[in-house]
Amino acid sequence: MTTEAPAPATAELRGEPAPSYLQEPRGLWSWLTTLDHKRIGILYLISVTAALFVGGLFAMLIRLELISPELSFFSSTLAYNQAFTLHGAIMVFMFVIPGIPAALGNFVLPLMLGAQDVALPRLNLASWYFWLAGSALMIGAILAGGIDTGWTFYIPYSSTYSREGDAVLLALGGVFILGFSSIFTGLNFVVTMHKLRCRGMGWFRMPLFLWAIYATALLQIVATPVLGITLALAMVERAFGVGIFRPELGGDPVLFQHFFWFYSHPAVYIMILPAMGVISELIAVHSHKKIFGYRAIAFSSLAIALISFLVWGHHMFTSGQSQVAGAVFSFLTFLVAIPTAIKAVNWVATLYKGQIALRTPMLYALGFLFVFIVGGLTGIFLATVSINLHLHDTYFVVAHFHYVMVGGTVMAFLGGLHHWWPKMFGRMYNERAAKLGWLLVVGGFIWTFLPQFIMGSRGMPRRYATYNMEGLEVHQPLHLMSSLGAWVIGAGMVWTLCYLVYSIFKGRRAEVNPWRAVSLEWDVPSPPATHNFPIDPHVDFGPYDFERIDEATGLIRPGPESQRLLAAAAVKTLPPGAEEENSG
Amino acid sequence: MTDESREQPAAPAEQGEAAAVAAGGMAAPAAEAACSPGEGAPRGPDSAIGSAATGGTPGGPAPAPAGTEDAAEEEHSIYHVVPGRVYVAVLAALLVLTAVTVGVAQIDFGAFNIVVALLIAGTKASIVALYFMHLRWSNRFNAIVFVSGLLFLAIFLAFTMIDTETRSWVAPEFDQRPLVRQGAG
Amino acid sequence: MSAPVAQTTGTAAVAEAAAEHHQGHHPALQHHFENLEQQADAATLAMWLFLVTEILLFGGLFVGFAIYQTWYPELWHAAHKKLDPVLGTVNTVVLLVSSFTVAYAIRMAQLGKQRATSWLLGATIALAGVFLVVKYFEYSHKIHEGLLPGAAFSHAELAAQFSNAHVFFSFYFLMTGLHGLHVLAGMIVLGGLLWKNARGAYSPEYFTPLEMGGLYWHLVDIIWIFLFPLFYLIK
Ligand code: HEM
Ligand SMILES: [Cu+2]
Repeated sequence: MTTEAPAPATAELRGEPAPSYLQEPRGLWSWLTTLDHKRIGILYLISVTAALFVGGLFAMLIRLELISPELSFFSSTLAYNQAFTLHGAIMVFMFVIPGIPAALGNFVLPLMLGAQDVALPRLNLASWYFWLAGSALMIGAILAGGIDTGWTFYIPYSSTYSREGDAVLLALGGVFILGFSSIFTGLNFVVTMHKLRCRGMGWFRMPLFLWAIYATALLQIVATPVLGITLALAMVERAFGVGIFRPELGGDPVLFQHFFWFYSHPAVYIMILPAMGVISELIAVHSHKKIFGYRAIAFSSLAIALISFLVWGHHMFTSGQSQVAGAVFSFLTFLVAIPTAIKAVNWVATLYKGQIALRTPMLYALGFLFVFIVGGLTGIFLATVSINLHLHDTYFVVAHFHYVMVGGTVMAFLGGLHHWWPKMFGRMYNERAAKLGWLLVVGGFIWTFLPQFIMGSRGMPRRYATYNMEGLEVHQPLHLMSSLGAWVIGAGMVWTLCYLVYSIFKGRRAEVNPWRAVSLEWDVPSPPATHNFPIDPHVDFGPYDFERIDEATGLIRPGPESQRLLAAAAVKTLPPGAEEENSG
Repeated sequence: MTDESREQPAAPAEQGEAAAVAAGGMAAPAAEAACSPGEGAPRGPDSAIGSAATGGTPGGPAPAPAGTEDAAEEEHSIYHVVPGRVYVAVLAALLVLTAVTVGVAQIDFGAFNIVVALLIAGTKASIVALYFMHLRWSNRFNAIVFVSGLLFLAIFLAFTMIDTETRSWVAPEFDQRPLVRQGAG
Repeated sequence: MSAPVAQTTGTAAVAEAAAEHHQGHHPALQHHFENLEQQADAATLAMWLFLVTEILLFGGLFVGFAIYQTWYPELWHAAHKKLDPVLGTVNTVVLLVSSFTVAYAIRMAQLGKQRATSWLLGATIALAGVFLVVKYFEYSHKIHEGLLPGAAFSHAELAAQFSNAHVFFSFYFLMTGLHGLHVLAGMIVLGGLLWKNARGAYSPEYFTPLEMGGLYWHLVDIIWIFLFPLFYLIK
């Protein structure tokens, strides 16, 4: 397909700007049929943000209900169950999993590699349409009466007990399709990283974000198909009464949990690995210091990905899984802490004696460090079988996974968004407004979820609509606090959306390289031209060689070889006849 | 992957490019020689991007002309043409193995029945992958991808069985299998 | 807006002069690839990754199958006798031959023999059709006898011996059914390739879609290579 390929703007070589990818080509249709990875990234950004707000709405409803121990806000416990199910399913499958890779990753990955696009642009667009189709089915499930199975779709809830059978089938189908969308993204990125790195871009010259994306993509490719078959089986169990998992037919519901968590534990690393990659970028760039332990961070991403396939049983300690398996899975889970800690140590070592600039992206990175580490450490508590028996299905687990998914992934998503925003839209947001947003999000987050650790460790069960029995009422003050904090996060999110959107129209124009970073996306205009690079680039420096920056202009200084080749290109692109003029 | 960490062997590639520009194109084999194959990654960053010389050749690499198929034995690319007799031999082998697996199924090896059956099936699958799917001539990384897929499947099975096969260890009085109601259907 | 010409600074070096970039290349070459070989390489890797996802998709069913087989070997032994090994063997041969024909079709395309390619693709599709017809007869026989998955199971003799005999047939129908869907998809893909080949889309320089279709078809064959002994021959 060459039709969509604009001839590289040779004018740029002579100093005339090319139209940006936002301007050219025009019209809604050109966006809906675009094969440009930057535009697909923006489409994904808009979509997952919408999902974030819809999922957030359900969260607010849940927190409203829990202010009081009695059933107060919802008309029935069923409605409450539907709210937390939809909250979880929308957030996990429609926002957190595609969030960083498909939105931010799509935008920056080819630029960072020095490539003109991802390897399979049509598959990339298909991925977004699959996201839309899957999400449409999820909305269909809401309209068909809602689902109350929990985001995990456990059998026999989904096969037998859930009241709205059609809705369950729609939701299962929706997540099935969302899974393919995720596979397409991951597959595309692996191929792109293998085949389209520009000249000079060795594996160890890739920014660490790309190593993280690579590890994520492997998980997406290997784990997601198992989710597909699991959900497909749940569908036939529900629709045709197949009895592989259904206990009343002689099936084994614990087997379903094995299938589900074979995907879904790796999936939590699909959620966090890209976040870790973003943090590596933010910390190095905004402390203007070469990252400490590049290879350690790069390989720990792969190690985490690998180990994450061996630990899924830690979600099943209380489910009827054998004790032998429990012991094995518990031990292996502890191993995850090693590569995770390697990353944390290297980040802190990078900060040490760096020129730390407390701009918004860096603030989010610091927030991530503090909050995510708590999330990870509480994971270790939970991985200890004896403690897990006490904490399983309590608010402690809820707090744990919100610390890693919100404190980790959402924080990194926001940090990365602020980091790449000037590149995406060519505008600067208001730094003060952004700092206020950060304060609301991080402050609100701790306010909301710290109390949940306390409640959980004291025995407050999760997924209860009411807690007016067996002395659980004592948790009411902490629940109230949690609900108030939720409003603070909500306000922070809305505020962030407002000033970011405002900046697109009224923001100060962004420089090419506002943060003085050295990866290739900061070496093209802000926003980039439709055709990423007028000539295929060549790199002879690493992604954190900050000494290559010309501090006056903020641009990356070309190496001698690049200069020579550049001159050759400029000569060759001049119209015939001009050459003699030039040389003569 | 370590070998790729070095900067691409830029000098030969660029010379090749210069030559390509000068001569208006360069034959593919020469370009390949310019970029020495690394472990698991035959050229450049797994691709011809490092050997810009091929870019100057309109229409991509020269296909191996008919009749010289065997000479192209070493070529790592989908452009490798496998001799027809190889395909015939492969089909014959597959059919023979099918006959063997059917025949062997008549013999009772006890617990090893399934092992024998799977060994034969595995051999057949490997032949298909190596010859029909050209893994033998393809970029080695493709084979790594394929085999690691099987490895993860093995992890899936093995770790699930750690549970399903040990449920009665601690409480032997229980049947570790899911309960089956009498007369269920 | 007047963005500075940043591209021409640090990263800039030349693989090709920009003006030459879009001259004289094959119509099938996409703009972000340097040449057809790189494009074919990328497509091949993508295909292998896709095949891995297929392996794990089927893999879930294989895992379930293996676990139930170790749990209930007696049931598996009794139930597999209800399958017809002759039809299973016939279908195995049919698929193996079809793998051969598609591999040979690609070889013919590599050699520029467009008509031979078309004929061989046609033969592959026909063999796939034979496979599905045989499957159709097998299925209707099973349905007739009530050897069905889940709640629909109604085979009196097996039901008297085992209360969960339906599980074997759940696996049977799900695994061969999913495989059958892949055969159907393969026929559509191969049909598309045949159509394009007949219109001269492929040549010795460019036959990547054929190669990809072939890889997919061989994987369908490989999966059957395992399904066949597991269902039809197990003692
Ligand atoms: C050091 C790393 C981690 C360890 C050791 C760990 C351990 C655990 C354990 C043992 C549980 C089961 C608790 C229970 O249900 O009783 C759990 C639940 C969970 N974890 Fe983690 N975890 C870690 C990191 C993460 C990350 C990075 C994420 C996501 C970004 C995550 C998301 C979740 C979720 C969503 C659940 C709850 C699933 C549910 O039942 O609904 N965890 N974790
Ligand atoms: Cu987990």
